[in-house]
Amino acid sequence: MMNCTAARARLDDWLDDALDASQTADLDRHLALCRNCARLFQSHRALESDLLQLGRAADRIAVATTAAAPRRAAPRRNRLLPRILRIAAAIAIVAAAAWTMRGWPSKPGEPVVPIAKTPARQLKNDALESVRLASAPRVEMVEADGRERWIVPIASSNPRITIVWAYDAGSVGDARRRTAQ
Amino acid sequence: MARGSTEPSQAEPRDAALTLLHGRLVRLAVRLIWNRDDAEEIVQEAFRLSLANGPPADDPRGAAWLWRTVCNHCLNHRRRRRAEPLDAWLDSPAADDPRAAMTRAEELTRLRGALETLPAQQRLALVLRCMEQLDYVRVAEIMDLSESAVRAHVHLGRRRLAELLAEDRP
Repeated sequence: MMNCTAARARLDDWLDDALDASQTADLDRHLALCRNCARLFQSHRALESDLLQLGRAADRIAVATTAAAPRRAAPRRNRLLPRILRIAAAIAIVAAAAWTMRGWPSKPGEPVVPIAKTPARQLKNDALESVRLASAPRVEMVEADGRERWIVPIASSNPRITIVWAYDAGSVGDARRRTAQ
Repeated sequence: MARGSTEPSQAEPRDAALTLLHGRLVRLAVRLIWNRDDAEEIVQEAFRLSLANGPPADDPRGAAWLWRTVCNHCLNHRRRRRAEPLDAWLDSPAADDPRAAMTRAEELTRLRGALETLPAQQRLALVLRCMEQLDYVRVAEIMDLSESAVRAHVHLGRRRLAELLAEDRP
C-alpha cells in the first residue's frame, strides 16, 4: 500500500501523464483513501488546466491582428459636443478679431494726419496690402491710385523698418469718421 | 553557400517553416510578456540577431538558438506596454453568465500574476512545459540545462505557484 510521501513523489509524473498503468492504479487506490492527497492532486490538476487555458488565451492574443482584437466596448463618447465646442471657439476667435480690427487704425479721438507724399506707387491694389515705408510712426491717410488709403503701422522688430497695412479708406469709414472728429 | 541564394523550390518550404517558427515564437513571447506588440518586437529582434551573428534560423540548432534568445529577451523585458487583459481572450466567454466569466478572468489574471513572481528559470520551465506543452528534453535544450534540472524547476514552480494561489485565495 502506497503512503502519502510515495504518492506525492509521483505528483509530477501524474500531472505529466508519465505513470504506467500499475503505478496509476496504486496511486488511484491511495487517492481514494487519502482525502488530503486527493485534494492536493486535484488542486494541482486544476492548476495545470488553468495554465493550459492561459496558454490558449495567449495563442489567441498572438494570432489576432490589431484590428481584429476583440476589445471591450469603449465607453461611448459624445462626438457632437467637441465639434460644437470647436465651432464655437472658431466663431469666438473670428468675432474677437473683428472687434479688435473695428477700432483700427486709431483710438477714438486720436487725430490722423494725412501725408500726401507717402509713396503711392507701392499701393497697387485695392485689396489689403502690406508695404514698407521709411517712417510711419502712426496711422496716416495717403493718396494712392486716385483713392484714399489708411496706412496702419504694425510693430516691427527692426527699428529702421516699419511694416504698415494699407486699407481702402471706404472699408474703414467708421474709423475715419471717428478720427476726423 | 550564401543564405540568399536558395532556389525558389527550396525557398518556399523554408519560408513556410520560418513563418511557422515565427508564429510559435510570437506565441511563446506573448505567454511570457502578455503583449502582442512587444512580443512581435522581441521576435523580430531575435531574427535580426540570428541573421547578424547567430546560426541559420532554418536549421535545428538555429531554431533552438532563436527559442533561447526569445526566452532570454522576454525574461529581461522591461514592460513598456500594459499586459493584455484576459477577459476577451478566454475559452467560451459565457455570454449568458457574465459574472462567471468575470470571475474566471480574475482567477486567470491572478494565476498570470503569480506566474510572473516566480524565479525566472521556474517561470520559463513552467511556460515551456505546461503552457507550450514541450517535452522535457526540448525544454532542456532551449533552457540550456540538463533534463533533471528542468524537472526540478517545473516541480518547484508548480509547488510555489500552488502556494502563491492558496495564499492569495480569500
